[in-house]
Amino acid sequence: MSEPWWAGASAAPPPAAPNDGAGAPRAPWMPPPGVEVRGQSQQLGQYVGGAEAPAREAVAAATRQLQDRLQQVQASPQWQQYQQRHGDQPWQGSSQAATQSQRTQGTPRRPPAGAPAQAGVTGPTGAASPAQQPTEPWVVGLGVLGFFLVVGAIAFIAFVASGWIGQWGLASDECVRGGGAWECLVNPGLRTQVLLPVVAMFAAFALARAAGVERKQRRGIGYLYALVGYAVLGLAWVVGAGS
Amino acid sequence: MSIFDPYDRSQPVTPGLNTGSQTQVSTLDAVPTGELRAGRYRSGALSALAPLLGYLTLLVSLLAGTGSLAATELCRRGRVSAPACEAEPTQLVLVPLAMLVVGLVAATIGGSLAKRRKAASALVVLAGGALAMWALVSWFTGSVLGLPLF
Repeated sequence: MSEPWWAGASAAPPPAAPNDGAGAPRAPWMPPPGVEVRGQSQQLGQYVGGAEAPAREAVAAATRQLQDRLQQVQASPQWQQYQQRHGDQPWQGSSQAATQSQRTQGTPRRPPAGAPAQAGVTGPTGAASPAQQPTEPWVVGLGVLGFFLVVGAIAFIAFVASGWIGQWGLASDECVRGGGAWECLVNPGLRTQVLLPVVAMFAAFALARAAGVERKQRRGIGYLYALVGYAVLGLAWVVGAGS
Repeated sequence: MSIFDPYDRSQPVTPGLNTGSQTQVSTLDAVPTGELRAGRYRSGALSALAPLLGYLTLLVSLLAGTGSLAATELCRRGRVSAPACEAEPTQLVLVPLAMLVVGLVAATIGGSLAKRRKAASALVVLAGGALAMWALVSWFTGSVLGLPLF
């Protein structure tokens, strides 16, 4: 390798660029004259420029369809019913609307004697003005009732039933030491003075939770659950004291 | 030139749902207001029954375990002739534990179903759990301990 590789080439200059009739030399990668080639934006013109017209027509047609459909729906009786029930803002307070619709749906079926179960709450009926958002009054005092139900159950066990349980324990212990068997342990005293108060306490806890759940949903039947809880505690006290 | 060409080929019927497919979803259909829709509120009664089943399960399994201990003691002193005297100790221990597990699982599942406003499923699960507990308790006290049910 004594000489570079280009040294042996002929000294002729590179071929001249093709010269079109305009006189300016054109680059070799440009297409030859006479060939009409549209550029990229020109090639896309059928999609960019040309697509707007059919799309606009289609959108206008769909909008007309939707407006017709909207008018149909707003004229329908179902929409009138829905507006009466839920007002103009059905997306606000969905749980309130749900409970209110529950109540208005339940009233035609239940006899009027069932209405006192919800006596504590006077909610608006379904004929409320649709422009107003339907609000439900808070159930008054249900939280306090539930609290005292739980506290009362604990107090019942701690002060009243503890004496009975201790009494039963001493008696059964004496009986077993004296030579007894199952009848010392499984006797009516166990059922009425030990198990019944404990079960009543658990029932009171469960009913207090039920009252709390209904209180959160602003339903008046929570009062009934609290009342049943107090009744269960009272019943256990009466039965336990009586035996 | 382009593969996905919504503006040229498949025009969407509803502007706004511009997926190019033929889904005809209308958000303005009539709202069903006639019938009672399920799952609109949480049932307070079922929210009470689930923890009640849990509490009673704890109580019952505790009593069954205490009954097993008492049976063992009475058998040892020779005052009771029950099947518990010949039973394996593992049975006397495992059955109260099984009561505990069955009851708590049923109470938990029923409670979570009640929380999710599925009242029918919650009722079925809680009733099934209560039935299973009753069967276990009556079998245990009757056949193993030799006792009448409380």
